[in-house]
Formats: sequence, structure tokens, C-alpha cells
Amino acid sequence: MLEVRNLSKTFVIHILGGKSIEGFRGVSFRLYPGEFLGLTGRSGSGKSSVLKCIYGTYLPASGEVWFASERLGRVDLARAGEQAVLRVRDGEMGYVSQFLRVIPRIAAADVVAEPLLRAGSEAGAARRQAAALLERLRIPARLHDAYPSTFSGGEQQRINIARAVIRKPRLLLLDEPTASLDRESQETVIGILRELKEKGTSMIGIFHDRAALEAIADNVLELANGSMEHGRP
Amino acid sequence: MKPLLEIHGLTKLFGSGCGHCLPGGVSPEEGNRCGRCGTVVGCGDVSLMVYPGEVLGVVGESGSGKSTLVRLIHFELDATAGEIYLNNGKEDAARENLLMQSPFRRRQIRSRHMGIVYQNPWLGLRMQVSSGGNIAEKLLAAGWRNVSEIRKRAAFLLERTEIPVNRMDEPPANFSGGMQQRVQIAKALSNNPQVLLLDEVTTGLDLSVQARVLDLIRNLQRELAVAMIVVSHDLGVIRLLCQRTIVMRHGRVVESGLTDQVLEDPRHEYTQLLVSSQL
Ligand SMILES: Nc1ncnc2c1ncn2[C@@H]1O[C@H](COP(=O)(O)OP(=O)(O)OP(=O)(O)O)[C@@H](O)[C@H]1O
Ligand SMILES: [Mg+2]
Ligand SMILES: [Zn+2]
Repeated sequence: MLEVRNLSKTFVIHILGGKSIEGFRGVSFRLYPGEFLGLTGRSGSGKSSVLKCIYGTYLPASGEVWFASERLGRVDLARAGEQAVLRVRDGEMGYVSQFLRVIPRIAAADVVAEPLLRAGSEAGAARRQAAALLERLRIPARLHDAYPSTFSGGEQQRINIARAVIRKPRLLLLDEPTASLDRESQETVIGILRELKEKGTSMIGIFHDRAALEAIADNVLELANGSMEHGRP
Repeated sequence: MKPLLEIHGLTKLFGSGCGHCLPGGVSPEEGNRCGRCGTVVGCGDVSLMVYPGEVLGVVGESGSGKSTLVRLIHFELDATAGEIYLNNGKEDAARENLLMQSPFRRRQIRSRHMGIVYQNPWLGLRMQVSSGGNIAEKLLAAGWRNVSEIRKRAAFLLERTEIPVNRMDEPPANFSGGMQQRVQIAKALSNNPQVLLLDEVTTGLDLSVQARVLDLIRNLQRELAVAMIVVSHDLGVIRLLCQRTIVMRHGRVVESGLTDQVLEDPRHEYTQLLVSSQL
């Protein structure tokens, strides 16, 4: 599904006189359909940056990101160009960020239904599907019409997850998706991820919580000072 | 997918230039104004594409050339050099550089296929003419002839932009700033444009009014899938509306990319400064 080769990221900060900061370097791995790869490493080791380089939010300094796209065939996302990345993001690749950035003034159910609408679903059906998913994530029906900007951190995070999984992407990038969730919600999220995985979605996830990682990861990749180690969770 | 709007090497020099700065204007290192003759690079060698249904953001400090770019695309200014193509969806249509077309043909293309909303509603509306009349004017230019159809379309658009239809015969001069922007949007969309140009449309409005205008634009965009170029110095607006963004400085494009990439991993020194001063 995904093959990452020798990926590196360096930030050149001009306002600090061209200072160069290493995000990570030399990251390579393969990810098969339905596989979950956990990324571990101390704070600042570059875990989030790896996900952002795959998603296209960061431009890699070097390396390749080969994605087996259904629509475009095998593409190197590191070089594919903006239109190709946008098309892959539209339905094939999802991303759940560590920090929430909710869209202002849109009801929770609409935030979640939006990817379905973009894919051409009928409005009523999309909203019902969104409501069912929110229900499952324990967001009570009375909140479905409210703006997520007023929600608690944990509620916002679940909105974010719902939005990312509703179209069942083929590749899902997860940056601490359960960080602000209570035990029960965390288990629900893991359950949803497992189901997706069984249907073939490949995932790369960063988890703070060892137990959550062990509950879902098939493999882990440890980032440490540029080197990297494969292993079992 | 073919781009809807294609721009190559678009250049606008304000001033006649001299041996030092011609043909393209002073080099970016010198800024945008020629030290010898005072010629200013409004837009220098700008190339960009807009794809169907896409929203492209344009950011940059004041004076960086954003509005010049928009006005060149809208044929309000004559370009010094460059090419603009608008793909009308017909595969066999001749590829014509619009900048080489006659003024009449350019006006026709503008009336039929473009819409614009200015920061200052005085530029986009005739303040003493009724709101319905403002829209009718644009429809007439686009080739509409049937008066009752025109009135129906105007009423529909005003309703869609949340202007009470019973105020359609009032001139925009009677309206609040937010309402005037919404009349401008109604007018700009009246001909079902292929490209909608928005130049700082929320700047200067109260925050709550800004939010309402932005929501309207976002909803209309989703509903009509119209391609847009959104100029704003507010990175929040850009993040909300645009998939891709270009950054301008001294009339030049210094950086372009996916909006989240430009905002989270800016590479050019100027973009880094812009982003770090706003986020
Ligand atoms: N946009 C950026 N600009 C400059 N430096 C950055 C940027 N993003 C990350 N870095 C730097 O790159 C390195 C890797 O950061 P990253 O956020 O990927 O770490 P992380 O492993 O996810 O950390 P944490 O576990 O604390 O979330 C750090 O030195 C960080 O300061
Ligand atoms: Mg992180
Ligand atoms: Zn000169």
C-alpha cells in the first residue's frame, strides 16, 4: 500500500539566520494492506513530522513516498505535485492530527458528513451516516447540531476521528488520536480502527499510550536520533 | 484534469521603465521599485493554474501585487507581458491567449465567465442604483434579455445571499457593509461565472459580519463548485477557504503549495515571517 524510502526532513529557519533543524532522517518502511504500523520514539524524535511528510503538509528534504492509489496508480507523493496529492487526500488518505483545528461555525454532524457530500452522497443519507458514527463514538445526539468549537478536547478529537474515517480511506495517518479520551471512548476508537483494518485500511499511528499501541499495532518503528528500528509492539 | 485558468509569465509594470529595469522590472532583490526611473513591478512573471472547482489563495503583504494580479485577470489593467487562458470546457475550442484578444472580446469573456468582489463595495456596485438593478446590469452584459427572467434571477440571488427580497429595489447605499458585500457576491455570481475573484472581501468588516460573509462564500462554493481566487492577508480566511495558496512579494510569487503546507512548512524567508507573525 505504501513504501517509504529513505525519507528525511530538515527545516531551514531563515528568521533564525538560516538555522537548520533536523526533523528526522533515513526513514524507510513498507506498509501492507490492513497493516498497522506504530511509530514510537521520544518527544521531538520526528514522529509527527513523518506523518506530515507522507500527508504532504511537510515537504520532505529527500526520499520517496510510494502510495498505491486506486485512482492514480502507484505515485510518489513526495514528487507527485499538488493536484495528485489533493486527489489522494480526497477519499484515499486520511489524517487525524494531534491538535484539533475545527472548522468554525459548522454543526458537528455536518463536519463529519462533509467528506461524504464531497464524494457525491445524498445530503440526508450522509447526515444519517454521520449521526450513527457520532452516536457510536458516544457523542450524544443533542451535540450533533452544535458547533465543535464549543466542545471538550475529547469530544473534538472524536469529531476529528469520525471525519477522517467516515469515507473509509485506504491509508489512515493517526497522530495521538486517543490522547484526550477516557478509557471507554478509547476502546470505541480502537474498535472502529480495527474494523477498518479488517476491511483493508492501512494505518500508521503514534500513540502515547503503550496499551493502546499494543491493542492495535502489528509492527512498530522506533525513531531515535536518526536511526530507526523495526520490531513487534 | 485540465486547468480552468492558466496564466504564464504575467507581468505588469507601472511606469515606462529604463535601461536598468526593462524588460521585466527590477530584480526581486532590489524590491519592486526601480531606483533609477521609479517604475514599479505590480506583477512580475507570475504563473499559476486554477483547476475546476478549486479555490486558490493569494497572500502577501500590502503592496505585494495581489490586487494587481486580480485586476489583470479581470482585464481591468493592461498587462505588460504574459498569457492568460480560460478553458471553457469544450475540448476542441481554440486555445487563445486572452491578452491578445480585442478589448471587445475581453469584455465579453469577462461578462460571461468571470465574477469579481472587491474589498470596497463602491468599486463593485453602483450605490445609487437598486440592488436588483445592479444585478440586472451584469446579466444584461452577459447577454440576458428577458426582463422578467432577469428580475427572477436577481430575486433568487439576493435571497441566496440573505438579502431580504423586499429590499431588492433599494440601492446598496442604504445597506450595511456586510449587506453590501453580499449584494456584490450576488452580482458576481449572477452570470454563473467560471471563475470568481475575491479581493479582500472581509477586510474591514466587524468580526461577526466577517464570519457571516465567509460562511456564505464557503457554502456557495460547495454548492456551485465555482473556481475561485481568494486574495486575503488574513491567513485564517485562506486556511478556511483555499486548497492551494501562492505567496507574493514585490509582485513576484515567492512560494506556492498546498495551503496546509505553505502555512505549516513555509520555506521562503518571507513566508516564514508572514506565518510566524500571524499564527
Ligand atoms: N514546522 C516546523 N518548523 C520547524 N521545526 C519543526 C517543525 N515541525 C517540527 N519541527 C522540529 O522537528 C523536530 C521533530 O518534531 P516532531 O513534531 O515531528 O516531533 P514528535 O516526535 O512528533 O514530538 P512529540 O512527541 O513531542 O509530539 C523537532 O525538533 C521540532 O522542533
Ligand atoms: Mg508529535
Ligand atoms: Zn527603471
